[in-house]
Amino acid sequence: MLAFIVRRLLTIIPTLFLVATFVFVLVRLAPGGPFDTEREVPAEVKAALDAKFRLSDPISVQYKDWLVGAVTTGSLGPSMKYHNRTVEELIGMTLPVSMELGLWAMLVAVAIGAPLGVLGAVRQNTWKDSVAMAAAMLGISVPRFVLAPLLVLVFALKLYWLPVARWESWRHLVLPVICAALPMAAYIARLARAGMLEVIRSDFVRTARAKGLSERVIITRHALKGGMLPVVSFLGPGFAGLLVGSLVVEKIFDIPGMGRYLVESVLNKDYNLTAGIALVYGGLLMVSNAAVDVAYKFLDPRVELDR
Amino acid sequence: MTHLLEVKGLKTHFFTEEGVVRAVDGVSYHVSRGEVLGIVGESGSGKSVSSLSTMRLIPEPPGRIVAGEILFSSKGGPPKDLVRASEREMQSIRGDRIAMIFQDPMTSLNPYLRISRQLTEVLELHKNMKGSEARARGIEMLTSVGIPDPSRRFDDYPHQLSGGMRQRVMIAMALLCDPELLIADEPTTALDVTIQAQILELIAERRDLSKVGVVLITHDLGVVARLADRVAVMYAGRIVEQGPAQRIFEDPRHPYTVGLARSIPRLDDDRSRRLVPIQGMPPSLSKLPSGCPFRPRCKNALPACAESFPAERVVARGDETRADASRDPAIGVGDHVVFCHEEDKDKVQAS
Amino acid sequence: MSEEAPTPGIAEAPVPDTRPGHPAPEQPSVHGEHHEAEKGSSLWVDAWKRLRKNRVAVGSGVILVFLVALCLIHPEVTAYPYDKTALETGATPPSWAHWFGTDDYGRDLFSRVTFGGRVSLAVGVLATFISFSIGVSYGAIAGYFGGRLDALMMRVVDVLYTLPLLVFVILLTAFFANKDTIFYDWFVALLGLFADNPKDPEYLPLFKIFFVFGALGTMSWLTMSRIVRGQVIALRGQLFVEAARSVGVSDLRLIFRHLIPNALGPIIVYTTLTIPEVMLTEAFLSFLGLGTEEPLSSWGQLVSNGVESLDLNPWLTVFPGLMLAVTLFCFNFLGDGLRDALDPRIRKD
Repeated sequence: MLAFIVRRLLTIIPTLFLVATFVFVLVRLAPGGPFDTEREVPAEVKAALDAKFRLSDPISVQYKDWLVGAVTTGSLGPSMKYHNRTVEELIGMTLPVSMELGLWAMLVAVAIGAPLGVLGAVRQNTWKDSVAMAAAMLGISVPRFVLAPLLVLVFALKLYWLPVARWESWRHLVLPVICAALPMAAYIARLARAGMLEVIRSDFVRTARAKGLSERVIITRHALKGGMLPVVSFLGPGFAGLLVGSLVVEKIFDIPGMGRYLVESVLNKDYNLTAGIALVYGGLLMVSNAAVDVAYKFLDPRVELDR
Repeated sequence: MTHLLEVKGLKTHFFTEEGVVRAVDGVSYHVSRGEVLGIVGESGSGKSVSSLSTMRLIPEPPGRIVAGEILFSSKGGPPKDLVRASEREMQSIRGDRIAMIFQDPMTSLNPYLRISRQLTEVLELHKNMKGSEARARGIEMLTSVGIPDPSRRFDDYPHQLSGGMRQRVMIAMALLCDPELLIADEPTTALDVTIQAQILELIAERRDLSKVGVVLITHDLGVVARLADRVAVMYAGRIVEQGPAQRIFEDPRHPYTVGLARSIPRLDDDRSRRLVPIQGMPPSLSKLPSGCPFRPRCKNALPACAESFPAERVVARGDETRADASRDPAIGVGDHVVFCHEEDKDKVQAS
Repeated sequence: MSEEAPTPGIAEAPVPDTRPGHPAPEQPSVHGEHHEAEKGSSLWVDAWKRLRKNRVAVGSGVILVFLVALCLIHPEVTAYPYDKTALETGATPPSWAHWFGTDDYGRDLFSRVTFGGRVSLAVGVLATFISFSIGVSYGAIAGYFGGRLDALMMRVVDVLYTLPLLVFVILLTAFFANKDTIFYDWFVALLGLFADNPKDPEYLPLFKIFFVFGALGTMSWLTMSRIVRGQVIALRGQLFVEAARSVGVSDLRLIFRHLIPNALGPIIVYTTLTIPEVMLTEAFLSFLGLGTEEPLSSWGQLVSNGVESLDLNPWLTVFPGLMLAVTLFCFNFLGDGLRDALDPRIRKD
């Protein structure tokens, strides 16, 4: 098992390298530089800045130095807008915030989505099923940036139950986490329902019925494991969706997370920061996909470990 | 005397968007202890649905048992109508008094659970056995169905076993609680020919040793010939002929049974006897023809065949002493009966 | 291991799926070789029947038609054009004159929403068209030729799947949707066909929107290519393909005239489901300030502006947000209904 995990993690490296290269080249190919502002900067100042960030070197040289720095010292270069801050410092500050939001949201999404989906499958074609699935469809269709203002409007601005924004106590966590979690919960509910339905119709569940097991035991012991596999494989891409969703959630709720810094860095043309955050996003996405593969092997005994 | 299982006038229909599918449309048969009843028919003749009805495992909706009785006499007690039993009562009967073996051992075992768990849960449920006691009984059962190295195999997952071994596990699972009735739905269809023989042998052994009654469902006349004491031939949701296995093979009366028998290759055939397939296709169960469902494919169809489903005719009496007097006309357990207007014509001519 | 061993006794019997648990288990007459001939026409007829019975899907379709018509017609006939300002009134709540109220510049929100609907819907349709073209061709070619080419092409898709594509879209739109790129030159050349002065800065927001079409389209074809590939592989072995090949039909013609039309069901379903996905992404980009720009409007951009004054003028957020949600909701329900109708095997019920 350990060998498998290590091997699976090693496969990330080439893809991550691809992402790093693409992002680095992309930001530097873009027309205009980080210091081309509306305000005319004296030529010598601009030259000094360009020299400091080595923007006048050929891209290949910049890339080589960046990559060597990243691999050997974990350094992703200085930020071009936040003076005297390095990219890894900024990521170190903001990543934990985003992770806290993301992991809570994932937990809430599974806690809401999975039972809803199982209920829909077990009570197929009843009103409970219809209500659960209509709710799921709603969750998929209402974008986070529509959901968030509505929630704020009701729970913060009208009812005064929860704070509008910021990231201080657990009460500040509630709305952003719900907001990030609901669309994912909706996807999970649909996948859980489809997965459970497929399993419930399978031959081995019929065998379980023929043994005289009660419906409750059939669902929990025989159907749940197989029925949840689609949900497990969704958690990888789902986590990526959460990260992207966090761009919106962090903006609306004024949360100092990585997503907000990504948007800001993009608008500021803070090349180093953009490349660094994009790289971290790519890495997180790939690690979560690898984690899903590992989890899959725990759940499905048919999957061979040495493949 | 009462039979172990007696099915009377069973009708199981499926209510689909395309119309009512009359999968089982008035079927009666019975099984005694220590007896193998073979139910033969094509795919779609309703043989599987009739056995699933017995277990009350018809998916509802769209399926529903619309008429009939399924009388099951456990331990020689009074017959209980399973059609009217509650789900809780059925759960205590399933897997304990009536057990079932399914066609495809590759998909009928839960791939996510160890074999040990799938066996012991039956014992926990019906025999209140726990832990090492259930384990020991499970391993004992695996041994008795001929699984080599059973204590090591016990904790395997199903995918680690071959198809034949898995079907043995299925049989072991079915026999764990010493059931009185075993329903085997195409138990050998998915297996290699050599394994088929072993599995049939295993079922025969159980019938002889523990006097379990067996309903053996198959489309393969060869399997029936090898194992069944009596045979019921199903066509389009109805039984068209029923009787002792030997009689059915030697003197088939219904044109459909005759056709079935003629289309089996035999080793002792001389070259001049050609295989004769039955012409045409079985009818759609949601659009059955009037009268006898076999009529469109029958070479000898009479005008009467379009009007009504033929009544039961006794071709030969069986053991009179075991006759069931409660039925009218009183039909003996070993009687050879056929449902065909042809028989009436013969009778008219004879008299 | 064969599912059903060759059976002595029942030589002519078709083998329908008799497992219980599948609805309508026994309909022997619809199986067998007769079926293939009827499949072409009856598939669509059956699908249409099934779709019509699905009230939610039909309702969604009707609402969509209404919304599209509203967005196309209203901005042309309204007395309050989407960009007509009335600074002296400023933001006003919904009223008889302005159903959705007005924004900070006194512009009629209903007009801005219907006009923004054009942009949002256009993004949905055009970007989906791009993703459709790429995905269908790519998947069909990989599936048809098979072998190493297929393995390589699908490996590329696998890798692309693991990339944070939306982050790339964000980078692309932020860095490349401006005047100094080759994309702008292409846009100017294209616009030159319709307008006299394509370099007019007035057209810059339009360029941004087109850029978003392109970026989204080129990023969202992966799933489509997988679906089409699977379909093509399944169809490739069938008789009509062999027949067409034996009479000398060329590969490309075979792919585009025979294989793809036969795989149309899943393609339609997935296309319908791509539209809301792309619209959502466009709205997301606009919300972040990377998509549609003033004075044009799109639903995402309207919500983005509205949120700024959520506590004072909540209607500026609520109406465009609901409009977007309702549209996505209808597209998703319609897509689900189409899937149920066109591919009964993978029905969700």
